[in-house]
Amino acid sequence: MDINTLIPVLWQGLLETLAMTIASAVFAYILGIPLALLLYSTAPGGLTPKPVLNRILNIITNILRSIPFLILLIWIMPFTRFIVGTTIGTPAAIVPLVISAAPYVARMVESSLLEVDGGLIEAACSMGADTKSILFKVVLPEALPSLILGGSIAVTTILGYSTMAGFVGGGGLGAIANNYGLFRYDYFTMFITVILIVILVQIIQAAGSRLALKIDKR
Amino acid sequence: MQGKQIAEFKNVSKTFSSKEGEVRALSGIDLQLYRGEILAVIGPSGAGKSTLLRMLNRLEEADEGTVIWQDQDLGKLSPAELNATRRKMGMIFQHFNLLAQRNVLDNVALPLELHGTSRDKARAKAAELLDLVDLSGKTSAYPAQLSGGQKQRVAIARALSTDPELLLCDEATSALDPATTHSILELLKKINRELGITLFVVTHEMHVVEHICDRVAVMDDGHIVELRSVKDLFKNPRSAAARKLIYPQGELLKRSYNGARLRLVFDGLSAEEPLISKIVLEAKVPVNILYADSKNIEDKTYGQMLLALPDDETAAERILALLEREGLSYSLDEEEESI
Repeated sequence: MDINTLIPVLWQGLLETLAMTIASAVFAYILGIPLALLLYSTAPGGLTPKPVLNRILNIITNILRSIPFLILLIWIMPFTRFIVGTTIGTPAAIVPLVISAAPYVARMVESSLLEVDGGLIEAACSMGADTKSILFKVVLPEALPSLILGGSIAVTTILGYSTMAGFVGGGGLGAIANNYGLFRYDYFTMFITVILIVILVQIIQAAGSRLALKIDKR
Repeated sequence: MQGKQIAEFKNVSKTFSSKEGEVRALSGIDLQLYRGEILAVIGPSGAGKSTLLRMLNRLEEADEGTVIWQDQDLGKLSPAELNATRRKMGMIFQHFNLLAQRNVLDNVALPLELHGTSRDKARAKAAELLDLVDLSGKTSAYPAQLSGGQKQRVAIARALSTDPELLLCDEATSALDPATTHSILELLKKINRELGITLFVVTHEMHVVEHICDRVAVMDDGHIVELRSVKDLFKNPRSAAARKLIYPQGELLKRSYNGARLRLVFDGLSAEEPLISKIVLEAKVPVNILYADSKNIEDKTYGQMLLALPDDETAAERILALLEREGLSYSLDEEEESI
């Protein structure tokens, strides 16, 4: 494909990839943060230990995390159709991306929360703080630099998954690589999409690291 | 100095179970805390003293017995009542436990914010308290930019922000160098004297006790083995644990000298008299000092000195007669007894 037709195609793909990634990340965090807070505070030795609930949440999280993304993508197509009315295109790819990323995000967030020094939680308890204030005034703000670092890892992972969605009808750079590279042996176009994805990952990772470093007061 | 009782431990016991088996951290503790005093609990690590302190704000629950705070059984409080009670107690820690992502002012404002005070009001109070701890110039610094002593000052200001009646100090100077320790102890003393806040101090450092405390409980292996005024403890430590804390070199000395020993105990005035010169000049006996230590407690000197008693009986008699004349208390130590 000549460069003049390639550029608009790539531009379109890039925008779709970004839209898919950002929307999926936002929804994954909307689901993942509450799940992480529940996992964190109900754990044995946590703020409000609830062993049974904690066990159930852990099992659900692990099951969702262990289903390979490509299989999940196909498996939940009926659900995707129920939510967005179709299984093809960028909006349809967001549904499996969110379901796959939310438990992953929850684990990332949980591990950031666990990094917060137990002494701080003890200090907050000694001040007579309730669980909600400990979570929102102490644990989350103290974990923020780590949450941002984790965020850049989560977003780059979702970006990688979003290209897989391109192989089964989702849009974006993944679809371009698939349609031109795999089906038409246009290795040049495929190569360019790979370069673009590499650049995107670099930018997101660097921005996350820089932001985390900038706001961290330690 | 001693006021009304503010808190009490009644027959409190606590056992921790771990993979290696059960550890009895506290057994049958009875202890009263009086309003306005500074009570220290001292003992070697693992004696259970931090566990005891943490029971006062129920960071640790008692297995048996009751902990009373102002006529209330702490164990029977609802979560909301417990949080309200915890506001009346400040706590400071060995490792400060400041929030790294909040600046100094907001760290001190945190307890008030947690209880729903508006941010502006909390900050105004925080600024006053930072003035009290001599850190008004550091309000916008972050904990990572402060020295250990400054961090503990911030922690103290933070602990005072809810106007507590009791300040719990859990090894508060154990991570600090001697000079910084001294200034933090001075600050704690000032808080006790000027604000009338009761202090419950847990430490393994004897100089903390001698510097600021009124009464001291010596803990060993989950028991309180001695509970006395600091003066009395230094004058005549009864328990092995207390002797070991006051004279850590004692065991060494026992091995190095086998003769009869004379222990002099002096308090206040007499420590300033030239006693050794008198023994040498008046009793005409050369003196061999085995050990001497003195402590300044409330501007008076208390001390102990251990002399080797001469083998010559008449020389020994002359020394004892001189001591009687001077009105000094002394005792002859048995050889097997450690000092």
